[in-house]
Amino acid sequence: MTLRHALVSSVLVLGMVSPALASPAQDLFDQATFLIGFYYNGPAKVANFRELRRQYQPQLDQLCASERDRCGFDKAKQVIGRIVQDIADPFTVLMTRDQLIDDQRYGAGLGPAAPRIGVWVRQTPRGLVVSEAFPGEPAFEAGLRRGDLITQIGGQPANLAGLTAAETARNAFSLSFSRQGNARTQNLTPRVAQATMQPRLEINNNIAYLRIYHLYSSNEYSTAERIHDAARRAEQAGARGMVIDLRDSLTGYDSEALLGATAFTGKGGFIYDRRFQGQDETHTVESGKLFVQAEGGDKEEQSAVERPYLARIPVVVLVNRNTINSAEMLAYFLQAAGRAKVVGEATAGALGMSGSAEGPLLNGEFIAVSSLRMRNLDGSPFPLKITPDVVVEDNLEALVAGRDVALERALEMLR
Amino acid sequence: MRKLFATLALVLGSLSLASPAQDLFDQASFYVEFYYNGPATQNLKELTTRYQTELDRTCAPQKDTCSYDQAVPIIQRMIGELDDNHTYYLSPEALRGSRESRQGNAPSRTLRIGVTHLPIPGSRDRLVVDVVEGGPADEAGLAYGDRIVAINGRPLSEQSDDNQAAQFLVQAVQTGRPVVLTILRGPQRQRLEITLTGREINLARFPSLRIRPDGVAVLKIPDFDAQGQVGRRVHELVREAQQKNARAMILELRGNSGGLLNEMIYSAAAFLDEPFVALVDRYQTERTEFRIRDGRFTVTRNGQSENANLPNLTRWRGPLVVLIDENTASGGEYLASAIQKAKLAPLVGVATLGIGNTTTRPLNLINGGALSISYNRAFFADNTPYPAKANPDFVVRNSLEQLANNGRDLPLEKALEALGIRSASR
Repeated sequence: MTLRHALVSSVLVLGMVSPALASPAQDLFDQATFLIGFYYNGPAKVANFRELRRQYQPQLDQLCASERDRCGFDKAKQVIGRIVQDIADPFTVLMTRDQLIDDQRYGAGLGPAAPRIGVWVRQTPRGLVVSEAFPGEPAFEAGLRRGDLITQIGGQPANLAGLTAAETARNAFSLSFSRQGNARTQNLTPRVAQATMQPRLEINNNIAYLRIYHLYSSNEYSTAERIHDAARRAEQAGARGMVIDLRDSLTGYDSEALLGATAFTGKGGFIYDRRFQGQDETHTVESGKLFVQAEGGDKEEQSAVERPYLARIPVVVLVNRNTINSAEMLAYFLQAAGRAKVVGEATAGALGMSGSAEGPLLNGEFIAVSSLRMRNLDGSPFPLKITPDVVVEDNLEALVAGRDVALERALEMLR
Repeated sequence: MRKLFATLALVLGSLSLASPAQDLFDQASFYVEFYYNGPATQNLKELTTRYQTELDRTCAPQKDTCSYDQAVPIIQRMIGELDDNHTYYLSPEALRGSRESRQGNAPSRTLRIGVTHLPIPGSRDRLVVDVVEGGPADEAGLAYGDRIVAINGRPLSEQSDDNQAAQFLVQAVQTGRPVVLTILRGPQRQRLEITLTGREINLARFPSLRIRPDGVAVLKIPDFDAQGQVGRRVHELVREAQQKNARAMILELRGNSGGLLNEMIYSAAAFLDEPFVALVDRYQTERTEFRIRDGRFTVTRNGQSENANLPNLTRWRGPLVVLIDENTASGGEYLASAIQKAKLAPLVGVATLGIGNTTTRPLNLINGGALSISYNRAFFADNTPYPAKANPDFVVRNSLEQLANNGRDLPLEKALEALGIRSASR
């Protein structure tokens, strides 16, 4: 007992001496390990922050062996990267300030802050397969569509790094693509996207197709509001069913996913469960109004859909391996309420967890930590991912050949 | 992602392995070490390490059952060492209270007449130094500097000490029956009897306007707490002063305790062409600019702007003097410094409290309270920093002795002199 006490005090004395010697890397490491170890409540087993520091300190010491007190942020970032990798839940990640600014722009109903040509692509050995071309952006205007194969960028074989470099340079560049064997080359100039990432509704042959790219919102803009509007317009136009396409969808706000889902379910809710017990937080939606109730507190209205709608038409939701977090939640709310069948691939696996971007960190970046466990209103835990009712794997070969297999299946189910 | 709602209370309680006291202390220490951005120059890590030893001592008997309440006084002493008025602990109750005054609705929950009064050395009389807008004292005309000499006909000189005298007034008010105060007012020591009745009042403060007999308007802003209610009211009162042909204005910021930046800058637009504050955090990840120009309020965060139209803005263009004192804090200091920098008016009084260059942010604690810490530094449009203190152009100390015995408010007299108006009180 006495010996142990003596050991503890000697550690503390060292602790008092060390601050003067602490490197930038040490400070950043201390900050990030606290944010992870103190708040983590996700599916992985994560030690409290002191234990976490003990586990990973040797790795930092090793990386900083030569630079010592001048050891820079980059070394700490490597170790934090390993911690995040070891935790291996798709929600817990390091985030740059630029990513947060993009999220804010999505919330305002805008596209990303940097100039882009406006495509989402998947890399294949033959080139980049376009999975989305955003209407109103340079690539769409130049004729690119979902399923096209980008073969060359600036005269070089197309890959992701090449596309990013060309967009970052901001200058006009040539882009070659083929559609079912027909090759074309266009000059494109990247530019900053405006309102191109808001939900997009199309109605063909009495079936509505609603593409949702994210679930962010702000005081000026609400994705959920657009979902309610789309549901109303679809029914008023006489649509017999609706496909909601959440493939590759970014995350957003859980409350927005819940509000959006009530365009089809009418009401719903979830519980945020923290590592620190005593006050859970319950989010519910009734009549388009979002209420938040802290345990032991009053139910308070936080936001509302201005013109809520309740659609009755059948719904099929499309998801894939990239559908993540709040987007998984939207699919889950519809599936769990028996309001939609889900078609596609098992999702990214960040359905049962949430949190906020913590920080800012010393280096100006942030860290998203799974600090909240998601529960249903009856207390049962959310699953970690969506299991589709009908499994249809993404098929890029078919897509390049002009066929969207999952969408075809969804349309079949609505017929 | 969890959407952040500004008004929501966060986490409470803990069942993790460390004691609740240790968890709470860890969280508070983390905030101080990594986000404190105020003027204190201590080694923050050394500071938290030192208080960790104190926590260990305190919690030694209970170990992992050591409670939140045992950590709180240690946290308070720890941040007390920073000696920074923008860094303080808020209990769960205090956090609720500050939310209430933000909403402009802070019920007193007891019968009150709405005055702050101080003892007068060498006497049992009481000196009125603050009157809550809209309370019984305000309605009955009680004013700053009034000297209460008797209550219900009984002279305060009968009371055995200052406490008894103060208690005597409280008890008279608590009866709920009308109370007669005998007061002495002004340099003429006019003797008046004022009758008022205590009731439950709203302790939230609002701007007020008084037009003096000499035509000078005195606009008092006690704080900027009530969201959506302070700035708007300031413009209404400035318009009223203009409609009543006030020849000059004294902006009373003595005792202004600060509040919301939005309300401060909205108020500032009644005096300045283009009020502006930029806030930057310790790691310069977030730069937020607040600006009012041509009736539009723009908040720009990291280059993203949000706008709001402010209808019915007024501008005071007549002669102006600003009164400040050592209790003028935070938002009050920002406003005084901005007016001084724009060379719109002299400041009269003494140097302000010294937190006019930072903002405080309440960071939620797991016991339901919060640690409010100096989080941002503030800058003008030309990127020079706001000064910590607003310094007077004319130094005049509040003299409670002169106020109590001769009815003379020396800083106010100096303000009138600076406006070129002969003080009627001489």
